[in-house]
Amino acid sequence: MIPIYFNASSHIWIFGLFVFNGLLLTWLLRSKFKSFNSITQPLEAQVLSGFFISVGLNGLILLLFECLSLEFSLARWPLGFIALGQATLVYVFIFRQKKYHVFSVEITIARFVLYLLVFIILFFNGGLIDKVSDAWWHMSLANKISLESTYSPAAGHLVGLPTRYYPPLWHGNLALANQLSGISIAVFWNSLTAWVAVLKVMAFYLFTYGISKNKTIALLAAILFVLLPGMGVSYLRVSAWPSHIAYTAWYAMFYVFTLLLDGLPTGKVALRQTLLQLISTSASKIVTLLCLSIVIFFTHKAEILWFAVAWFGYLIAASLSRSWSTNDQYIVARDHFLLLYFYRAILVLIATFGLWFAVNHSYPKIGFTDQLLANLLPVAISVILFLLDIRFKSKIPLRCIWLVLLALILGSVDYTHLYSLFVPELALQAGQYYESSAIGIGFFGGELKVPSWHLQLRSGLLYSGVLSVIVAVVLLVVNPNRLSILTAGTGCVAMLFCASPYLYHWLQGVLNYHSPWRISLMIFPPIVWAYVLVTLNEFRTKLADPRA
Amino acid sequence: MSIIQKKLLVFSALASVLVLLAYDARPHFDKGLIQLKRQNNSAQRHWSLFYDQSFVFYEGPFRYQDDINQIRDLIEPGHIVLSDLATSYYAAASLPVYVRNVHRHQGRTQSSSWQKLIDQRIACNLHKQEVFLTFKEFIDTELRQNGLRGQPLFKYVLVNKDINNKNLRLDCLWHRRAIVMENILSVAELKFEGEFLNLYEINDRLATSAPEGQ
Repeated sequence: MIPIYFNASSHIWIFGLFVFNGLLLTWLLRSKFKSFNSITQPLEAQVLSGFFISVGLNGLILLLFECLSLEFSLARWPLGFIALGQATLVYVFIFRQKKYHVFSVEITIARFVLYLLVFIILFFNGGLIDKVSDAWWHMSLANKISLESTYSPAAGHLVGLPTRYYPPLWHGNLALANQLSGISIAVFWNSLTAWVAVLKVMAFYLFTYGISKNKTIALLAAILFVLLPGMGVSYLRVSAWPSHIAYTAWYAMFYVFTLLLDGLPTGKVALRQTLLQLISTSASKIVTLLCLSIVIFFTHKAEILWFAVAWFGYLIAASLSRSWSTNDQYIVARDHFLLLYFYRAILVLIATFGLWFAVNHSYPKIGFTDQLLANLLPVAISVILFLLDIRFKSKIPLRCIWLVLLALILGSVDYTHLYSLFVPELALQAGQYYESSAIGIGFFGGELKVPSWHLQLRSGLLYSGVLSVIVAVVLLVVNPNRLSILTAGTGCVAMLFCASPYLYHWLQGVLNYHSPWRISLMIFPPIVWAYVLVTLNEFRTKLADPRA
Repeated sequence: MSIIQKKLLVFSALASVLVLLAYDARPHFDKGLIQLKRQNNSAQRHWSLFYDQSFVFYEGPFRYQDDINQIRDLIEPGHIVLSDLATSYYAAASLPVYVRNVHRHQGRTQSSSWQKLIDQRIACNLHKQEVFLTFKEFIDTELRQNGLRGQPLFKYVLVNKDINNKNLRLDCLWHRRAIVMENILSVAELKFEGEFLNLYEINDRLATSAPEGQ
């Protein structure tokens, strides 16, 4: 007989350690700061805030203990005092002053049922992968952190040899839970999956709501997030991994950033005044963004880069949409002058960095020409994108530049590799390890890296994933708004890097990262399809009742 | 375009999208896929209506917790444990020890002698005289060299006797556990015999055969 509740006590500990303190602080902050109150109005935002504050607070206390050479098990005292102190403050500042609005949340029954269902399913599914997976590498690190009361165990972990640095915030939190409760890390890993799965869906709801400002689209996107297989999407059984904690914070960052964009002053305002106004009215949002970035930096790191790349994709799509626009309609999310300045500055930065990288990383050896081309292609694309952002009096130079851009991009794609996404038998030779890149051959016979489609990409992209990129571009042309600009921009950038050996090779070289294929995280099929469904349904309603 | 044509167009577009989404969402509702994945050694990353805690419970270390708790009190921290692949990971995640029988990309290749021991399945063939001598030689060398380098010493062998956890079947150390348990006693002593796990400690006689000063 299986005791299905063998991990029941771990859930109580999870609430205590990963939610309670953060939630109390969230309420206190809501009672003091109006703007924080508005950010955290939805239930999802309050729960996420509680989680990330708790994780960050636990991490800080452990860091302090490490500096003082104290055992992590003693952290129970400061954590207890903080909880007690906060509870007292909540009583004094909220209950006694009758500020009950602090506890108010915005939630619908449908959303609540969705989260409850996700929790129940994941509770019964469990979160330990039945195969021996990399999860054990992470648990080994957490175990050594727990045993040695340090974020960086002296003799490494697992094999007892010095190992690469891995951001240890999440492992530290697992170690703390293990130390305080005596429950094994594996049990926590298994139980946390249900919690983080819900948090991830909540964060995705907020993200979609942030860019669409439509609760129906956001709810549908959250449902599709649970249903559609994709990179980071619906892989709910791996939710306790550090990367997925970072994805959750990543989605939350999108939400906060869209709120920040909402605060952009429109009309004729000077740059300095705009920036000052933005800082003064959006201080809480900026601080929240910073805190989330810190959590990501010490949990999985890469998502900070993906966040920047995603918004760069947004700016590219906005610029291209502006360039092919035939009317002079002003769209804030696309044409705000601050975004325009920012975009051009980034292009200059990328072109300059690209040149520096090309000069310093192109060595004369076999395949030199192709690798040089790979290093120069992003520079050329940046220059062309910059030119496209300039308003020409005549349409002819614009069309010529468009043609050059298309030729460069389409010419750099490996079509056999792209085709092998649909026909696995044609796949290029994969590397030695599971995560290794496949090898593509350039125009001049040089070897260039491409992502192997088997790396969760094929199952994630076929078919709604890959189709969503095309649909997002159509939506961008038909109706440029924040949602269509972001999904088209990120989707196209991600697909291009996966299909073009030149761009992928460059990305891997620049990042020196073993998994740049995770750029495909930036394809957001649930958002695109939710938008399509809602739009089609609106058409259907209008046709059924033309007066509506 | 007439209203009816427009209605048809919108309806067919809506239906196509829904069919596509339903097609892609089917892995969560496909009971057969769970078995197919298990047969192909593929991880179940997606949630499924038909997946339950029994997979996790029987194919994880949860049932070994009592044994692990007792072993924790018996071992000296900071040493290396030899075990089958899955148990090695379980041990690393719950005991103050290190392991070397891990996936290649997680540090196995960092020690050529261990890689040789594992790749050549030396510990699985201890009943063969020449292999046993190689194993003894390996222990001796490891103790001597790592002792001089101040690195963790190979001190324990952990045998998993569980027959329900399919993860254990990846390794000859589990398939040939009877041979391991019978022959390891020549170089190690049984320190703990639990319901699922047996712990053997490398014999002092071999340990002291290394040069003094370790």
